Amino acid sequence: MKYILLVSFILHGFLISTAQTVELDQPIKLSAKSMTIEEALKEIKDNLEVEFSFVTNDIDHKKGISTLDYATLEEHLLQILGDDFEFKIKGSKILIRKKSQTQKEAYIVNGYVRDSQTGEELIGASISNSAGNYGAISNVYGFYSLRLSSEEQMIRCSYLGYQNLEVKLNLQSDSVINFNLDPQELVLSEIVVNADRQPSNVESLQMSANTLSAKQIEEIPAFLGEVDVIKSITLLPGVTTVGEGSPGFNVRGGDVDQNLILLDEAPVYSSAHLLGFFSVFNADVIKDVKLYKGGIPSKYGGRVSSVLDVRQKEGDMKAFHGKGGIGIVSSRLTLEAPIVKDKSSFIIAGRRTYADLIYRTVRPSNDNSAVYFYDLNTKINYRFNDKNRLYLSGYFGNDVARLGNDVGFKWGNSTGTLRWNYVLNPSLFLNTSLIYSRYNYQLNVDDSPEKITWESSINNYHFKPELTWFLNAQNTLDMGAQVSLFEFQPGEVTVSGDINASFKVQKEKALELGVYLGNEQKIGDNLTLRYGLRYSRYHFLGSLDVYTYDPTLPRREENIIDSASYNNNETIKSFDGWEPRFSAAYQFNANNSIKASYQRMYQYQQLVSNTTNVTPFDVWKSAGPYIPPLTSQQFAFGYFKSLRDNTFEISAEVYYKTMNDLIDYKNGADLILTENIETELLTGNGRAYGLELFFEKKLGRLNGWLAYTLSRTERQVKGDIPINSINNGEYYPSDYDKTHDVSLVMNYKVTPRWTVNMNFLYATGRPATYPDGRYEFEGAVIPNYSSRNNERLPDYHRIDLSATLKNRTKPGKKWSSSWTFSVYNVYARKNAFSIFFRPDEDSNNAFSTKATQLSILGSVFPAISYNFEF
Amino acid sequence: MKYLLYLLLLTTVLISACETTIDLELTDNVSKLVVVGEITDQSEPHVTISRTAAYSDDQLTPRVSEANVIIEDDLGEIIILTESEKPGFYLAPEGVRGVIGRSYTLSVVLPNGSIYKSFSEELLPVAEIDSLTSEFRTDLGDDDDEQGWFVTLYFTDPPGGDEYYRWKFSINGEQKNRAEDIYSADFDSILDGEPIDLTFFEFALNENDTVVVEQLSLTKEAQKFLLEVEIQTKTTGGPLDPPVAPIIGNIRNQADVNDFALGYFSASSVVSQSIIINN
Repeated sequence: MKYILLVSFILHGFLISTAQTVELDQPIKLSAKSMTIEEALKEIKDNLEVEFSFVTNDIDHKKGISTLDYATLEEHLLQILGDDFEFKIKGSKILIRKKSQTQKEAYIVNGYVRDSQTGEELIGASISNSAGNYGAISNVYGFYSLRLSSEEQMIRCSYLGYQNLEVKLNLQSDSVINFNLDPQELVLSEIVVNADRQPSNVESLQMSANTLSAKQIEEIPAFLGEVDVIKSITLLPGVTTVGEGSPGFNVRGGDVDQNLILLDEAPVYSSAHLLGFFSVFNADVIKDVKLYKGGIPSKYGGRVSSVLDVRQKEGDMKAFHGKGGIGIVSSRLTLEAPIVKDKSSFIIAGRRTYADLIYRTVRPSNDNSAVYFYDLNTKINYRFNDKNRLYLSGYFGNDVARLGNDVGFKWGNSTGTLRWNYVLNPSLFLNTSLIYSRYNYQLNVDDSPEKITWESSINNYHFKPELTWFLNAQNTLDMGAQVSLFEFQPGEVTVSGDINASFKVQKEKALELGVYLGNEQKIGDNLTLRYGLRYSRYHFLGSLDVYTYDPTLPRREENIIDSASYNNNETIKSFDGWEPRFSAAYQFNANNSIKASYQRMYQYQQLVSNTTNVTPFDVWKSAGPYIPPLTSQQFAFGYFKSLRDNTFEISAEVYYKTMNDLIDYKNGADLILTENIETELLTGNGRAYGLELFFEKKLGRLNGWLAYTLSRTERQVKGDIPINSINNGEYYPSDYDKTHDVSLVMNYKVTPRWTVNMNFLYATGRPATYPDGRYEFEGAVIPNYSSRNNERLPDYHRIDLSATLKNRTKPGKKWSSSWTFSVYNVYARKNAFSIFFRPDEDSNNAFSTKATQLSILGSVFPAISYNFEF
Repeated sequence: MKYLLYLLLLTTVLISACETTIDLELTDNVSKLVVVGEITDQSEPHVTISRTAAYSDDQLTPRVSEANVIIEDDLGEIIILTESEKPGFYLAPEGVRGVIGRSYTLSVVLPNGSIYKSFSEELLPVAEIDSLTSEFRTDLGDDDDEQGWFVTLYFTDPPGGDEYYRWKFSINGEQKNRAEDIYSADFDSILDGEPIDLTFFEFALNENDTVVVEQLSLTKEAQKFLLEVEIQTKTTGGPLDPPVAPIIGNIRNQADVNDFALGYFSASSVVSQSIIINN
């Protein structure tokens, strides 16, 4: 601020305390009829023994004026300075302020939004002035910064599930205001019907995004009572899965590997446990899950379809707390406590399945079979002061399967994140992260006397500084960079024993760089824009031997004509891309808005998987000499409406998305331990479009949502030679294309102690390939499938129910607990996962065939779990 | 690998996955040419020409008669096959054999004049079978409770290069020729030159059964084709299955690059051994 106070002391400065006070109606005579403003003010100053206070730039000091001869002080000042100014007397000071300036004078209010009970930062809380026309949203670290006029009397903070909080303002300078919000249940022990106005989708700029709180996720009835973040996500519009027990999720026609899944900013490569029946996130440590399906901000890059941003809790800053549960699949325990109250805290959580532990007590002594998984989440944070904060978080999860004594599998993720939040000044927020992530799997076969070990892994390291600049009330800038190093070990097999051998698919290495700049700009009261640009650059690095294929022939091993060796860290191939991102929102009034967005994104790594579900043993393939990066563009448009003070939210969105250079596979591709995997791959294109309707009731005894998606997802794969094309190179529906997809999620508080929940799902059956003929091969009957995904499976539908009973809490005791009873697939619908065609082996007729429907969870699954908090 | 994953999957889902046989209306068949031929060093070369039929027909598929069928080797020698009493089954004159080291190409001229030709297939040598043994086991077979006699084959893969094998079985004189009986394997880098033992655990045998095991050499392409046949006929529709697709062999329409005949023309050398199951 270019504030310079022109201060002049009266000669007898030491007499200030006894100086006479001036009045605006005090008469005064000036010496000359015309002089400059500076001379006139000097004369008044000297005569009255006062000092002036003003912004020097506001006044043109050398400007000549004509003065009144004899008049009151106020009349003189009006004559000298004009109507634009107003005057105030403060003791012996005369304050001169430009009238408009008074209104424009603004200060930055910043701080953190926290839970009053635990000190946990709240993401996405809405902070605004009383009129609601200036506002901000707390970022993923709970930090906000807002520029407000000094005339604002009040600032308000609101967040779903918390009591609104209003703070009186008397802004004289930039201020730090931390909000500590009270959770609602704490305030109202009886059934809550909250009428407080809540922040809504209508007001935010972001479209195509959904946020689920840990509480919402916990309430959704889950398979075998295992609260599941990923399965909850699939209940949102635009999100599908291949089928029951399928790992991951498909967003707006994107493959499972196109989702950027971040756990405290660290990429998680496999989000599934037990091949997909459960997911890696322990809901007890999760604060907030946000899914971006479109309009993805420029700070995210590397995957083209969605961003699933999962934030772990920081740990209670006030007191020791625990949370846990015992279910039929797993048990879990979370502990959190301050290390130094209000300064530092930790959280640690573990989860483990225990079917194997039970089995161990009853198994034959020579049987070592076991299947289990475990997760460990940890986080420590330290608040140096309001400006500096450090976080260290980690996740370790593994699936282990041993079959008999001979075969063992193991796969899992580990991630580590070190983050430093630094508030440079009230309008500059810097976050710097150092991230490590690893995914690996291992297979051990003890086939005496040989032992076979098979290992594969992907390691990656990231450095990511990000700066947010709350420039002014209209503009918030985001800028940053990301440097990532990836190491892929696609597969290494070692045989030891009588035979000693090893086989190794060459390691691959890559460096990815991204820089971005984005601005969120308010234009007038109704229009908000966010425009940004990300530039990404990717280097596929040595050391590696790369083969050259005869360019005139199909890419096959026999057509290799040359090979080249690259040294360590030598660039073999590089790519780069500009990724513009654009979002706009126009708010007609408090209850209606329209939004539009466009994004272009690059993805430099794809999962190589040719099975119906991805498996833990699939490998990631880096873009390189023969595999171009995947690119995608998406346009989306939406209408948002809220009703009854945002109790209800309705939205309708349409999108159109294209994907270029998707990896696909030649028929009969051999992807396991394949040295020149490019000989098995093809590239294809994809397109997806759809309509998503979402109706949500956020508050009240009955809450929940209804989501409907009408969509189409298609792929096109042209072969290296025409007959290798899929469906003659024409577009065909993807495996997870579901024309109609409906999810109804309801939560009803029956009494203060009883809550019931229900899910209803309906979806068009997914595409399937049926034979259109049969032939004989040496007497064997072979089905002929000439057209991929030419038919559809029967429609999918299912209802799940759950009921939670809160146990009475003993007065004065911290311990509270509840029982949850759940039933998955209430009416035991045998939903088809697939239909397959085989010779009828039971028939005497060698030419007899049959069609068989496979249902993976074709039965009712009741479960009970006990949950506690203290 | 996949088998093990399935075990894991089964353990996971406990007993929930269930299969139901269903009736389906399938789209009409587009009739396509099928050519299956084989030349070996042990028997007369033969070719079967047929067309596809509707999937749900429980009948022999239609045969194609009156085609001109010849096999030509890389030295320019020509074998003419003639249609036998079995319609659509074309056989070389008695005593004609394939020769190890030569490459063979099949040509078929249909009555309507269209010409289909195979790629050239090399007749590769095959490793001798060292021995066959049998053992009574209770822990093998498709079902855990299946028990019986299982045959193990021993041979040594010759060092140097990749070898591709196929095995055919006959039990008490009856050829096992359903889709589930097709076995092939590729012994590449890891087990190259090593002694190998293979237990065929899908055949639970009874005492006194006579089993003949034939070991055939294959080209890489032929093994890939058979593997596809195996995968697609043994599909269980599970989450770990690759997508089903047309199995494209080595026979093409000479006039249209996008038209191929289903089936395969293969060249193999064959060795065999037999065993009578007893204690």
